[in-house]
Amino acid sequence: MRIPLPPMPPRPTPPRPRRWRWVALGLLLLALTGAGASWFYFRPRPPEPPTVRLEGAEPAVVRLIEEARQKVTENPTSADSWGELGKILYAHGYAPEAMRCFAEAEKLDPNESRWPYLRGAEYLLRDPNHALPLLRRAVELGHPTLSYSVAARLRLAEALMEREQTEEAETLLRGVLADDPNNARGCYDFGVLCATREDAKTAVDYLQRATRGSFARKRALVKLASVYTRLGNRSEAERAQQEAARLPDEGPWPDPYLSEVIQLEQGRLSRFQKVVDLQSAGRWEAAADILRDMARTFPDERTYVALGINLATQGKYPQAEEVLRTALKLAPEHVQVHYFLCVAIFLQSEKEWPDVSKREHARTRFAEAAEHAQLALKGKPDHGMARMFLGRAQRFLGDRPSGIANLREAVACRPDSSETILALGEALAEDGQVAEARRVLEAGLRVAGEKDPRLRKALERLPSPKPPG
Amino acid sequence: MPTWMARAGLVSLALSLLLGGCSGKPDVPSPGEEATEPPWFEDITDRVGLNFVHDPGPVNQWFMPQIVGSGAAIFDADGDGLLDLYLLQNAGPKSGSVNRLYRQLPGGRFEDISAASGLDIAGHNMGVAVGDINNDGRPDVVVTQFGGVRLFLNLGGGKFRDISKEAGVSSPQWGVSAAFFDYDRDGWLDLIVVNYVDYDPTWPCTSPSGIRDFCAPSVFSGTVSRLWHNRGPNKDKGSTSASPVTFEDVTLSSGIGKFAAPGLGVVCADFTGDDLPDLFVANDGKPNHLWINQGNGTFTEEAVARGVAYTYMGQAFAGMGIALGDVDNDDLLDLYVTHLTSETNTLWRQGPRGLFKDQTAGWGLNAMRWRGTGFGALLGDFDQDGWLDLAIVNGRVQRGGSARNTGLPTFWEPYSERNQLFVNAGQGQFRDISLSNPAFCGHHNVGRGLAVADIDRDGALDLLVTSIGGKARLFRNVAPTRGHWLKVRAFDPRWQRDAYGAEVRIRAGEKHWLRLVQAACSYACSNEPIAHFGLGTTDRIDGIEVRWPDGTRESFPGGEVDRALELRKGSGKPGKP
Repeated sequence: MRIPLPPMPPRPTPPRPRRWRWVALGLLLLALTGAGASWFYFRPRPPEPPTVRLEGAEPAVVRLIEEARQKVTENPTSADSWGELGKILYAHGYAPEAMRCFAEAEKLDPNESRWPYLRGAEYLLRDPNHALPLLRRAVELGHPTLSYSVAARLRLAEALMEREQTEEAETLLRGVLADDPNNARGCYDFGVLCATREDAKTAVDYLQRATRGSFARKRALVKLASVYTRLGNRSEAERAQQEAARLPDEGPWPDPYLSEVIQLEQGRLSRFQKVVDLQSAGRWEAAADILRDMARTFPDERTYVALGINLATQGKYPQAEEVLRTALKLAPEHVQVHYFLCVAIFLQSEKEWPDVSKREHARTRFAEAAEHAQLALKGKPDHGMARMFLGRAQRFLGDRPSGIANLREAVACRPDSSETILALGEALAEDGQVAEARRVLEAGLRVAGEKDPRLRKALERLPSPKPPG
Repeated sequence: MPTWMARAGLVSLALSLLLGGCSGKPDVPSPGEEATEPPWFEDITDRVGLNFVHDPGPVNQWFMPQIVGSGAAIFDADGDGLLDLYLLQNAGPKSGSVNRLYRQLPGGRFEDISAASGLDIAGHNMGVAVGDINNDGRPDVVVTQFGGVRLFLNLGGGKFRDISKEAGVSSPQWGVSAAFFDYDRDGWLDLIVVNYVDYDPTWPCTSPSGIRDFCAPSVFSGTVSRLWHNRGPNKDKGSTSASPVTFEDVTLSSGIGKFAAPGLGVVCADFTGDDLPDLFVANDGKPNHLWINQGNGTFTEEAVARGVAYTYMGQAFAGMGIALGDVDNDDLLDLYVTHLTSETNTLWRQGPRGLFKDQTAGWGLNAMRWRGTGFGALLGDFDQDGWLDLAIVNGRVQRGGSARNTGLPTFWEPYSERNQLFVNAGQGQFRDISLSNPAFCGHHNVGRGLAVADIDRDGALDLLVTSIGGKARLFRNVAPTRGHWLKVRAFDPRWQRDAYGAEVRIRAGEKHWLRLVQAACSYACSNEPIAHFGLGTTDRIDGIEVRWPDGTRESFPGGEVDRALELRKGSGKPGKP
């Protein structure tokens, strides 16, 4: 008989050796470390800020770019840092690198219209098909300031018009004109659009409205001339054309997005631009102040020439002469330095000439002016104005035939200049060559019209031609 | 401000000098599409023995004329009935690099006959125009230069003599494109030379960051074009002049001197339908000029009113080369002007007569594989389907291109770009076929001159390209499915020369085509003055009408196609005006 055995209690699992636990833990740790390392290695990182060729660039520009680049390196997830670097690069002519920065800024801050707008504006110049989606995006994102949102809508509308996508352009233009009915650029664009659609009446209406705004007046008059010509209205066309011809060229449309870029320009070109703006506004002394300041940071012939021209234009000939002499030391063969030095000396001498006591001094100075004119002509033989001053100086010095020869040459170089024509005409008249003087002055009058009354007056001073026979 | 300064325009010059900057901007990579059509051109430069390499002079000088020249001419220099090539150098007057004259030999090879030809001059040579100034049946040559213009009389046998001084043709200005045309219809070809800017070589220009580059034209003031009236044979008794004719500078009296601008390209044609040749001048960064011939020796400038001064959006782009032709077969000549990479080349369609409209976008000319700074441009029916196609050569004027390993000298590589070719598909559309044309468009060059002629006399238009610092290249038309063709030489026996300015019209059923006889077109180049018609499937034409330069009309019988005709003035049936 077999006695049943009681059920065996469950056999306790023999304890695993403790080392396995450690191995498992180690493996886990290793796996975690590996995963961490690979994440660290492959993690999405902002790209390196672009590098640009800076050899030969101005130190101020180099410094500005390097500082902006450093900011991006220190804070690579900041859209503003990328955007700022992009704007600085764009302002200094590094467009492709700037576009990369704007793209990165847009990735980091997709709600900012600035970045797609600036990329779109640049791509319009290179690859318009790529530009349109960017500009549309900028328009969609909008901007709290009206001038920005208007600029984006108008830029897109113009790009669409250039591609004959006029319906979308029209919607945008109507939107702009609803927000800002007197927007000159909007009126101009709408006028152009209507002209394209042969709706001349509306085109004329909007173009006339555009003539009331700055930056659009000349453009609108030019377009009006062509619309009136197509309508057969020759007199209105001529009137618009003549009025347009009297106006200075208009620069690019004001654009607040691009203004932000332009403001970052640090090179001397930007400072020269300020000088030009001031001089155009008649603020010659303020411009001279900038140039004097520039003479400390950029003490080369270009600055001194600019300052010399500024001073000569203000009639400050002795100061101009002094500045130009400094320029001459820096650039002994610079054509414009010699030319403007000749002008400054000549005009001082001309003032002295009537005073007999100063005549000898004036004679010496005329000789000096002639010498500088000749040096200018050595670098630029077709310098019509230098040739004219040389001719005039030679006549003061008593060498009238050489003077006439150079004045003839001056007219050959600059047949469109009433200054050279007048100088030759008057010199010929002085030498008794009245018939030729008349021919020269009449030809000049045909070209200059009545813009320069001195030609007409010089003609009237000539003795009347003898009657035939 | 002293009045003399304001009047002399010196203030604006001085201001623009201050801003002597320029900016280099890059290419955008082209879409990577594949070629889908057989090519139209093959490069036969080496095969025909053309070994001209353009010499722009020493680099790193930033001498602006280097970036502007040079062009070429295709004409029969030696009177053997074969077309020869004249190619310009730009290395300066003291250089050993001289202009080259290549004579075409039977069989199509070219032989350098420059030495002792009289045309082998050094200089900063820009452009060339060809025309028979003394009506002796031999085409004469004018070369424009930085600082000069040279007129050469053809003595026959490939020999020329410089008669500039004796003929009264001289100019200190910077001439680029030139053209012979008979503006007063007296039978003697007059000369227009388009001048560029009042350049000062000592003025340095930089990019916005301060790096040196070539100056932009806006830094200097523009200059006036120059017009010389051909007074015909020297009538002075006992004259010992070496020139058979004399020219009179009528720049001022004609009114042409009224407006200065940075001119680069010029074409002459009657745009107003009054039988008088007018002038269209492409200006660089300033509004173009359209000089309308008043018939009394004067011209008036009417580009603004006639719609061709500015682009559609009112911009004055950088006009360089000009292609002229009737792109839509509506019997009116249209204008295509090349501009900068950052702009768009512009097609101004004429219609109604004398008025133009920018129709670039409508004609598909904004949809291109890549952009370029266009110089030479031509409208020619390369596939002979009855519609004028378009060829353009490109090359930048400021650094910024990304091309490498182009075979060009390193200095010029950042200026290099690819050329372009567009087929006119009819129905008002051009299509970019550059990718299918690797020979003409596939490599980078700093393209400037583009000239056209049927070099091998097979009835199809071939192309000659010049590029800065590179080889001149000759492209033979090998378009595989070319249509029928007709070539017409309009010859005036009274004057023993090609009738420059003649308009030739062909009719075939409902179809009609117009071509102009003129050598000057494109950029700084002279072309074969032949009216070339592609006729597509039309294998017979009904008639030919010629409006001669003096305004008279004649009609000639039609007939077979695929042939070259010479129509002589006076031998046709008088037509109605």
